[in-house]
Amino acid sequence: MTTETEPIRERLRPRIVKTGETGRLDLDLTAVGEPRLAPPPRRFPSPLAVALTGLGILVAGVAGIDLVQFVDGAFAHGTSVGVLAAVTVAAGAGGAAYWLVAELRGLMRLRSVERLRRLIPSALSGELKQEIDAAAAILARDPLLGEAVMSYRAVIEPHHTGHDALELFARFVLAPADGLAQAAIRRAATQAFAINAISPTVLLDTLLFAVRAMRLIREIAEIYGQRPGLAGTVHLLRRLVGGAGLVGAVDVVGGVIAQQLGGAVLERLSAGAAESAYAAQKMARLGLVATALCRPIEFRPGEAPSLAGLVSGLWKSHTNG
Amino acid sequence: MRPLRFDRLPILTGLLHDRNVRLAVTGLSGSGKTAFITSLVGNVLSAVGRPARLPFLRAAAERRIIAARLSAPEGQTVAPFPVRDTIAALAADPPRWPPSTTDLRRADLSLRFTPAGFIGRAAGGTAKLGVEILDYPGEWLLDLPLLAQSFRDWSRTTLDLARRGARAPLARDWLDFLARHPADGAADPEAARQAHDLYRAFLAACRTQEQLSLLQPGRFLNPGQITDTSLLWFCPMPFAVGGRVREGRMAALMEARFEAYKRVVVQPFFSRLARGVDRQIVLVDVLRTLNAGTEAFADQRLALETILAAFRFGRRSLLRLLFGARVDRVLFAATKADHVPALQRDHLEALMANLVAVPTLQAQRAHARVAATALASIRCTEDGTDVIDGRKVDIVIGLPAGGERRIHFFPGIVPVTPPPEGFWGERFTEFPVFQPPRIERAAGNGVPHINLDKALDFLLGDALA
Repeated sequence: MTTETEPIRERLRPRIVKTGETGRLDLDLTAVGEPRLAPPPRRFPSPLAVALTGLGILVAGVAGIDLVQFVDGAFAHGTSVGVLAAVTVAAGAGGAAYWLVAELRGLMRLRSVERLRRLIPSALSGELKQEIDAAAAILARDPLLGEAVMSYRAVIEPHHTGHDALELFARFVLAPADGLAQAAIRRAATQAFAINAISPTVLLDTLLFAVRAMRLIREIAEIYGQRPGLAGTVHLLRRLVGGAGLVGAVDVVGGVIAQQLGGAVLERLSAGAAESAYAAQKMARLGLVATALCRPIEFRPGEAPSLAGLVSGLWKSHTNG
Repeated sequence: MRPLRFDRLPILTGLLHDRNVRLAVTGLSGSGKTAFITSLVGNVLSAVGRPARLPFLRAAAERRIIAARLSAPEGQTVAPFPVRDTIAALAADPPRWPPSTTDLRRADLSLRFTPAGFIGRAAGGTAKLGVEILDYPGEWLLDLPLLAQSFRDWSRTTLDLARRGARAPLARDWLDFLARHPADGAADPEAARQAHDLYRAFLAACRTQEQLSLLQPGRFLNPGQITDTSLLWFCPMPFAVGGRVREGRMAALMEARFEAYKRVVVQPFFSRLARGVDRQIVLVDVLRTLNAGTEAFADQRLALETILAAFRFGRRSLLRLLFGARVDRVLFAATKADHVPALQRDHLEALMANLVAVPTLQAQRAHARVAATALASIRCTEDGTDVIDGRKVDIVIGLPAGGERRIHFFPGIVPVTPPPEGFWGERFTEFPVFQPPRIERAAGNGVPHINLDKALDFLLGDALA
């Protein structure tokens, strides 16, 4: 960027350039078209990825040969048995291929969002607008947020700067998405409370908690346009390891508080109710960490939701409802 | 115990949220006051059907503005702002800029909206916001400091300024005349009038030829409706050091008129203006003076500081001391932001913020808010790129007023702080005037703009919450 410290000789002075273009400008509100994501930079695959790909090909090859032999053997027993075997194998292979494609698409969406998260904080004003358009393109596929993205595209104008676009995107798209995520967290926390309260054994309680937590993470990822499959969920869980450390810390702090207050307050509550409330709190914390990780644009200072906000939201939703 | 009447809750919403805001709009000549008010009215009236025009005004973006209308001003003390005429000028073919502000005018907007707060939502119902917009020439603000100055002090300061820099050659005729009619000469009303005419011509030349801004008294170039124009027939006089003003002398005549001007013209105006003014927007054409050269820029800065002295917050504010005004939000807006491409707009905003940095700190201490922005009330250009001297640069594209072919305008580099000595080169005097976009006569589609919605959110956002 040219700055005022540049010598006068080199600095361009104001200038008017006449053109042959005629007619008024069309300055009416214009809708922004759906942008395409730029291809990610080419990277060399990791040794593990090469090994896993090789193993995958081996398994697929062995399974394929087995299936061919299976169909061939079936035809040896008669044409009708052979056709039935071929149709069965084709249906199975089709299902597997569909699942594989869905997995890959989910994983690609996840990667796109992660790339945006990396690029947006350091993007220049012009680039920022393109990155936000790309984030809007991802969220536009979400049936819950499609309308919000349309509202964003209706208000964004060519003269808006990258920071304007970020502000409008946060206001029109991310705010409703955050609202949906918080609603999902509140639902999961309420259910965690109930699970803990009615669960007869600790093992079952832990199992049900884990299942509900997994569902919550996937729900939040879906809200932010990621829709992860099995591979995507594994990928998300890997990213959540850092966040889980945070939840673990909350556990420790919560345990200390419970010990300190045990005599004074918790004695007055039934032990079960206190544990259930604690389970709900853990679920909510996990949801908040997942929200922070899945959001295509990181929270700005003071924007991230808090447990207190969730509780007040719970009360508001009950009173509004 | 009487049961709670839930059907009364909407009335409670009204009691909690109904309010009136008095917004004063000012700016030095040519800064775009008329365009600002026209665009404000046009866009707010269209906010119900076309909220996308004002995405940064929260109430509009959240579709909480239910109705908006222009109401007839109550009483006849202030002339109404000619909204119909200004919109007709922009709706003409080809569209043209409406005539500029020459007197105090007023427009009243009435908005009905749904409150955003939890209590308002829970209670249901809608609230009403009355916005009274006052439009007056910014030069008149330069008269406010005169109220705290004596004729002798004002004369000394003004003459010092007139003898320096770009003002000196323009002031020659007037100063020669004063040399022939000294302060201790016999009072001559005809000579006093001639001195006034020469001083006024000097001020006019300062404005048109040198783009200077600190031109006092403000009414000399923009008199407005003054019934007795003889009140203006004075000018600064050179006083001998330690000399006294004696009765029947020229200086005494000038001083008497100066004091009468303050008492009859300046004081009643600010008394009327300050009563109940909550919000103030000061429009500044920073770009034009930046291109007009170092002296024009420095002079605008001085004029701005003089205006800011009036808005000094806290107990020492002149407006508060004299008239009890309580302006709690002031927005300084660098206008014509559509004359620079997007990235430079951030620079323009930063430059404006730097020019008003000190009063912003003072305001924060007094729990008031001052902000700076860059805006174009009516956007006439679109961004583009061009190659100039072998370098690819961002430019703006527009149709010049009265022209048929579009131009590419490269505005130079806008500095983010008041520029150092090495910045200034040759003056650029061909600052383009672009043709405004043609708008619909009936409100509905709004007016294209840049950052008008941000300005409105700062000025009215809390009242629409």
